[in-house]
Formats: sequence, structure tokens, C-alpha cells
Amino acid sequence: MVLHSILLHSIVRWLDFVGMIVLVGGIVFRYLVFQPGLTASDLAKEEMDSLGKKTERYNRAVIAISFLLLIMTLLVDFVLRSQMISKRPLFELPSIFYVILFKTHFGWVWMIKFILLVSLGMIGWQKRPLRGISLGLSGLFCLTYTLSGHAANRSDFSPDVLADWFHLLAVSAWIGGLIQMRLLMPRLLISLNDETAHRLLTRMLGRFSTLAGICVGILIPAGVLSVRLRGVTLDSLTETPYGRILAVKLLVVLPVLGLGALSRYYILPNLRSIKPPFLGNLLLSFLRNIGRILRLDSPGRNKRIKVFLVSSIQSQFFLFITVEFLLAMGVLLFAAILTQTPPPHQMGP
Amino acid sequence: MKGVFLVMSTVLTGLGIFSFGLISEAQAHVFPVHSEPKVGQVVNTSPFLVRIWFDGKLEPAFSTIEVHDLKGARVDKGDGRVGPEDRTLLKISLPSLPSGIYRVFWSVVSQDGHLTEGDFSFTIRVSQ
Repeated sequence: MVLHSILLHSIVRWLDFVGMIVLVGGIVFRYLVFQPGLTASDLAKEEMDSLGKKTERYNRAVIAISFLLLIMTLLVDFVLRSQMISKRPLFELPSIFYVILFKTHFGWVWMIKFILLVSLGMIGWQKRPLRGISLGLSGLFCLTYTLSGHAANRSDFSPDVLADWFHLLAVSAWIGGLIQMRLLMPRLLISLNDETAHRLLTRMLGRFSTLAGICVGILIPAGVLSVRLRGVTLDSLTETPYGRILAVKLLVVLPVLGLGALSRYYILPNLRSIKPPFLGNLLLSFLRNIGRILRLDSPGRNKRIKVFLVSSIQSQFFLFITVEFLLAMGVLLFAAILTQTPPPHQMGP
Repeated sequence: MKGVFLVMSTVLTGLGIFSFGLISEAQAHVFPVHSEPKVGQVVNTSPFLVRIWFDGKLEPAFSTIEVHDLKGARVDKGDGRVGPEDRTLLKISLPSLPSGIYRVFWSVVSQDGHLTEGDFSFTIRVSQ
């Protein structure tokens, strides 16, 4: 496979990953973070109804966009893969579609993936929540990625497949949830008063942090096991193309993990206690002193300072999460390139 | 926030381009583990079969094997296939062949849908 072909396959696979993570992560976020968080919150009924309607519209938009992206990448991937497998020009491909669909492992997995995608789209469009079915189908949808990747080359029921699947599930829930935190939460918070918005964000971030912690706890050992089973060693990280790309991917993963830890152990406690963060301490002291010097003491001063601090913590949180989200997109790009790169092997007969 | 987007996107695009540079031209996803006859082996009798074992399962519909002599003429029996009992094995039968150098051309598709191609030679030196 020549470089431009690898580039095309990798970009299609990257868009495919992005679509999958938005769809699956959105479903996980909705059922495991948002809905339980909203139910347990102390919001008034009118506020909850209003948020529920906004979320419903948003969820439908997310499902529609990710569904269209996935359908498009699924079709393009099928054509590209058919061309690669058969070595035939584009116009001759329709004649072998049947053979590829029904006589190859890739074809069967592709059809199952298509059916699962349509099912997820239809269920996601329903107003009635179908938590168990949606989560179950999402898990199976992730499995189709594993079964059409490197992991399935030995067998469909190997430790490679299990490790890769768990890695993918954890990444989807974490990064997909991250995208929801970045895109959905600001839309909801803007309609609430400062105090309610702060309480809701703190609650959602608390639940999401727990989920993200569990995901990281799964994805690291599953990822390590997965690459070890593919023959990756410390030496191969510098000596093989697969190892080098994996090393670059890991370099981008580290700051993503660091920012995740920052949200969990720095932003969240500060949101809970409304404590000013590092520079905020200096700023708070400055505001208090300037108030005293300029005789700006007034009954509402402390409240105004509190609102200012909350909004500064929130701004920091959304900045961190934006950077984390962009880096995560980079990680997905490297993961996509890795799917087109052979893992280290014992060469030659 | 826009500045952050711009800087991060530029850095990630650069890293992505760098990664494409790390990939060599020839790419494959299953590899031959061993073969009978072995690569470059000199055998005293004409083998009945050429067999190649790979490190992953193969797609029978798109995996092929052929044996040619030095002039390029095909000399196998045309029954090349993936072993039904072992999906990692590609094999083809041979008639009784005279002394000479023979070349095996193989092309396989792995379960993840990636194509690998290659060839190797072996020599038959029938003892008088």
C-alpha cells in the first residue's frame, strides 16, 4: 500500500473513530452521567423540564451528525477496502461486492456494524429512554471495530480481541463524555442562574470524573496488554514504524491524562469548595485590599467576589477541557494511522 | 479560546504529518512465519506441496499462490488454496518437477482486510 493510500485510509478511519466516539460516548454520557446527575440534582421542576428539552434537542443533533458521519465513513471504507483486497479499479468493484460482503470476515463484520449503527440511530431518536439496549448495542458497535482490526487477525475469540475491545470501550466512554462536557454543558449552564449553574456543573463533573477515572483504569492496562500481544516491545518503539507512531501517540496521550487529572484533583475540589485556584488566591487578596483601599466595601461585595471566582474556575475548566478534547482528537488520528500500519512481527519464512 | 484551537490544531497536524513520514512504503498486516520448502532451500526430490504458514488468519476468497519456473512458466497444479483445517496455511500442489530454480508468488488478505504480497525461491536438485 503506497503512502497516499495509507493517508486516505487513515483519514477515513479517523473520521470513523470520531463519529463512533461521539455516538457511543454520547450514549454513555447521557445514561451514566447526565440523566442520573440531573435526577439527583435539587433543581426546580421547571428548570429540569427546560434542561430536559434542551438536552433532548442536543442529543438528537449529536445522533444525527454522528450517524451521517458514520454512514459516510462506513461506505467509503467499504469501497476503499474492497479496492485494496481485490486490487481492481473502482468501476469494476460492484461485481465483487457480493463476494466481499458474504465471503470475507471483513464483509460480515461490516454488515453487522451497519445494522448496529442503524439500530443505534433509530433507538437514539426515540424520546423514550432505552438505557440498557442503547448501552448494550453501543458495546457491540465498538466490538465491530475490534473485529475488523489487527486484533482479530489471529481469532475472533482471542485475548487480543478482548483487550482491544475493552480499550476501545473505555476510550469511547471517556473521550465521548469529554466532548459532551465541552459541548453540552455550556449550552445548559447559560440558561441557569450562577448558583444553580455552579451546582449543576459541580455535580456533572463529579459524576463524569468518576466515570473517566474508571475508564482510565481500564484503558491503560487493556492498551498495554493489547500492544504487548501485538509484539510491541520497548525496542520496537524506536525500531519499527508501528512502534514509532505508537510512541508519538503515547506522547500525546500523556498530556490528555495530565489534564484529566487536573480536572479531577484541582478543578473539581475548587468547584466544590469555591476555593480560589493558585493565581486566584493572589487575585482574591488583591480584590479584598483594593476594595478596602478604595472603600468599595458594600453588602454585596463578598457575593460578587464569589461569582467572579466561580466563573474563573469554570473558565479554567472549559479551557482545560478544550485542550484535552483537541489532544484527544490527535490521539484518535494516531490510533487511525496505527490501524493502517503493521504491528511488529517475526519476519520471513 | 480560538487561539488555543489554532495552536493545538497546528501542532497536531504537524505531528500527524510527521507520523505519516514514519510509515515505510510497503505495508502489510499478516506475515509468513515459515514455509515448506524453506526460502532458498535446496531439496533433493521434487516436493508434492508448497506450504506457507502465516501469523494470522487468511481470507480464502482473496488469497492466492502460484509456482513458476525461471522462464516464468506456471508449473503448479492450479489448486492453490487456504487450508480449510488451518486458516493460517496457504498451500498448492506440484507435479513431479525436474531440477531447477522455482519461484513461489503469494498474495494474501488478512481478516482485517489488508493485502500482503511476496515471493521466494527454492531449488530442486534431483540426485542422479
